[in-house]
Amino acid sequence: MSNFTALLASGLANGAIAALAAVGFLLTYKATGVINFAQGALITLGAYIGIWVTQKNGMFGIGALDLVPGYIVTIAIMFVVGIVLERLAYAPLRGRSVHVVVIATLGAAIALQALIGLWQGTTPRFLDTPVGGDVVRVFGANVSTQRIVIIAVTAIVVTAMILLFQRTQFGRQLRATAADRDTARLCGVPVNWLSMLVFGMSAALAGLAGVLLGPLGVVDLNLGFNVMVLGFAAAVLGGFGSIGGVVAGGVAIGLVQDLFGGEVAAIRDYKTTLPFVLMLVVIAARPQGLFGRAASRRL
Amino acid sequence: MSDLDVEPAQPVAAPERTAAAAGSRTTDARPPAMRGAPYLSLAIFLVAVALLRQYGDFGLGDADLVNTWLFYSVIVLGFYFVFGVSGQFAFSQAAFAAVGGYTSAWATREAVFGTDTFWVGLVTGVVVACVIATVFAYFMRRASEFYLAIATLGLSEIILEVLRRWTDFTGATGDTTSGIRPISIFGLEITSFDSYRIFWVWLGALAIVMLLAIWVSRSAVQRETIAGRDQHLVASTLGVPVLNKRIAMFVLGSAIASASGAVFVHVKGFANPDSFDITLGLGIFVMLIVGGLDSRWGPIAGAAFYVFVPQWLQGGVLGISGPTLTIHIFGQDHRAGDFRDIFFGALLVVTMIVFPAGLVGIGRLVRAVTFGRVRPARRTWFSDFLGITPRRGEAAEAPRPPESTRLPPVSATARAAAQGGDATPAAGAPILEARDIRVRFGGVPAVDGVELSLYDGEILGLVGPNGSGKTTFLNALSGVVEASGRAEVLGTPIRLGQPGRIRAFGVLRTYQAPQTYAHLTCLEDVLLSTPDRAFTGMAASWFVRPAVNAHERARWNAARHALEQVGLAALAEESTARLSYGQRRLLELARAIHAQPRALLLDEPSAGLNATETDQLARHLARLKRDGIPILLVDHKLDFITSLCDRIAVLELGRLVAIGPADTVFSDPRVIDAYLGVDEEG
Repeated sequence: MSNFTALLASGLANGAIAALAAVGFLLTYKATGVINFAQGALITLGAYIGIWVTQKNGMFGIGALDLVPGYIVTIAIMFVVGIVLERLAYAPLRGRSVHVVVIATLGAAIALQALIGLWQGTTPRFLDTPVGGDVVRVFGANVSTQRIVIIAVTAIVVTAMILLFQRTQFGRQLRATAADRDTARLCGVPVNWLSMLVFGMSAALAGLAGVLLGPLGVVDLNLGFNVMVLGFAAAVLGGFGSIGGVVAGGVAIGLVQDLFGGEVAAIRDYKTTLPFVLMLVVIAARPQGLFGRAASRRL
Repeated sequence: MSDLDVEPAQPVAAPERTAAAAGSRTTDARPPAMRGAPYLSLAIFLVAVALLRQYGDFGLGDADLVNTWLFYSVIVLGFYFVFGVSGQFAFSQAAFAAVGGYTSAWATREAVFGTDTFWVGLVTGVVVACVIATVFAYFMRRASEFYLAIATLGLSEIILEVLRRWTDFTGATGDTTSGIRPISIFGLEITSFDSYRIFWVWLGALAIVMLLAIWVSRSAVQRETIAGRDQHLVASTLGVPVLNKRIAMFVLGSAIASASGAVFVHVKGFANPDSFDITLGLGIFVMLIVGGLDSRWGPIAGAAFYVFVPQWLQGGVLGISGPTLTIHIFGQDHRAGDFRDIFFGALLVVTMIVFPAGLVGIGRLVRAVTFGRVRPARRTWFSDFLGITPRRGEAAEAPRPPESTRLPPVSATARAAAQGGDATPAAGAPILEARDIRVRFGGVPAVDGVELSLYDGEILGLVGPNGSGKTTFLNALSGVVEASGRAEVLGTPIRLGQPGRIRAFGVLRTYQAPQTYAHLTCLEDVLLSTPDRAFTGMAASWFVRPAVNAHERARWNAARHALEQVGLAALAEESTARLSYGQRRLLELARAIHAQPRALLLDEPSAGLNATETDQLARHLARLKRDGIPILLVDHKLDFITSLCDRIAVLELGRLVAIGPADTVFSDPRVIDAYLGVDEEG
């Protein structure tokens, strides 16, 4: 039983990681219709900035920040990075089809990843966390406190996002911009400001994901990419675009990976492939996602 | 508009639309796609590379770079088929190279087939990759392009993860598999440090893949794949097996990747999953786009750029000395090569904005300027796909001519032509029979139990107010929407809900807005509807060239003849993007003629045409009818309909309210109430 609970807790935490990675690119997707393939590189960047501001000399030699203020500074820096990225790689392509922007985000991902490598080298680094390596016992199972933090933060972020989209004028404007940018502009929606803001927020979420996920293992150049593809799997399961759905999708892949992969000996070695297997099955059987609705296609 | 002059003036002796009859006039002309000397250019290129390698003044490092370039060229050529020709957003190329490499290593290590020969390993690797690619592509057939991108990312993760863990298969200690048998050709062992022999292996591989690409482009495969890529529903209703072509291209690209992976692994003597991770996958993407993705030379150019330029920037390559840049950043000196990925990431963006046709596009421009043959700005499917096609000098998006409020009368000649033949519908079994066709959108019945029969030798008009279900009825018959009911062609039931199903029975349909292919020439566009589908497959294009050539030639001549009939022969080799709206309508008509259909379903063929063009259309339809092709004609122009049609069916709210000769139908009070009484134009 305790083994089961431990796997359940671990699965929930892994699902929360995928969901946390996914909310960032879902935000830009919902507002602009673009899948930002640079999200992974942004998560990596967030983790490295987190290390940078909290290490011994701190950023620009101003000394180390405490962890929590350091995280906040990281998220603020990432917000600015997002705006810069929007200006450089997205704004010049405005009015082009979503495909050109997607390929531009691929270019941004390649460039950003290389830039991080140049800046920080390829040696894996470590990021600290206020809760350290603590472990709490949940129903008789040991779960690292960091994972509990991740679950809690993901819950807060997702709730905030849903409220933002459904209940605020800002959310309505975002949805209107996504549906038809030109019409939204004609109705007085400040679309340029919105897209800067959205890219900033999305990068800030990547920064948040980076500083929260970094301490779970080592921080290296592939950190962001790996969680981003998990995020894709969660988003596909959730019907791509639904923020509530991505949480369900994340929990589904987390549980499949840890419960199924953990209990069945034959595939235990390959359990990290299970989220993707599940994703492929879903795309094959229900291209609109487990929790999504079929979109009708017109000629 | 000079369309009137082009209309052939001999209504008599309407020629048999067969390849043989048409061939007598133009047999000597080679079809455009068969012109040029691709084999010669390939041979010149290969010899030049070989000479450079033989006599070039460069060291071991450069020799390895040349080999890397050739490897990349081969694997990117595979991706050219997947993304360049077929438009599939796939990141799986690198992972399929890993499948080929590891499977081949396994098959030779374990002597699975009783031998440890490299060739057996290579074939095993390619077969395994083909099986995986086929299954994957089949199950992903409904995935949209971004879903396919994500799915291929997922597939790559699965493949690499399995290769990292399954050490029984890979024979790895730690991450690395070592001791893989070298390639041996005619008893010559090619070891990992023999870069000279390795060069010849790669050059041979490149030659083979380029030959495959040439053969694909000189057959029906390429244009049909492009048609499926740009408008898959239209392509299916024209008779193109869209899914087959899509899967075939994905499998071909993956097979090439796996073969190159097998050679790569055996040449190196070791393997590591990290050599095939997403870095290579993204690099392949960059090379294809930078090189130019609408030409088979693009991958070679892109790979050369990717491999040699960074090397040149940090001191020189292939005997050409470079600037030896060092850049001081983040407290360290960095050589230019360290900025490679930053550079290429940025270049990816710049390429799409500035020159979507890539290096090959620049080459074409230079050649055009040098030889004084400046052609209009090249439009690639990719620039369309990205929405960045230059707008200059294009007739494609020409505004529709305004429809006059009062419909112009159809001329007396057209009327006479229509009624000139045997105007009475022939008795006997119907060509096309629809029974109880129903289509629902959500809870709304759009077509509600329509029953119609189309008889030999008649034109059956289908009219009704907007939203009465005319187009949806055609969509149901042609399998574009899900529908219930029965449809029979010459007594054989056809399955509904499958696009292209009815085309297999000889019934061709057109769409409300003209659907022509901007990335094909008019001739190629007409060829899509060919009734002769022999030797149009990919394997045929490689293995039975003479038959492919003979059939292609006959098809080209027939298509040219169809274009002559509608008066577009002069534009045969121009891109359809250069046609006016009315000409695109005529092109669709040429397709219909070329298709030699059992029956035609035309959806508002006169929409957007002016009086002259409508008149011309009426004469063409009358001639098709005389040639024995029954037509189901949906249209709004009542004069046009009444002058052409033997019978008229009226739909209202998805139900058939009347059917019969024009005068009976239009005096029917229900019709007057439902259709004529409503002032829908406002």
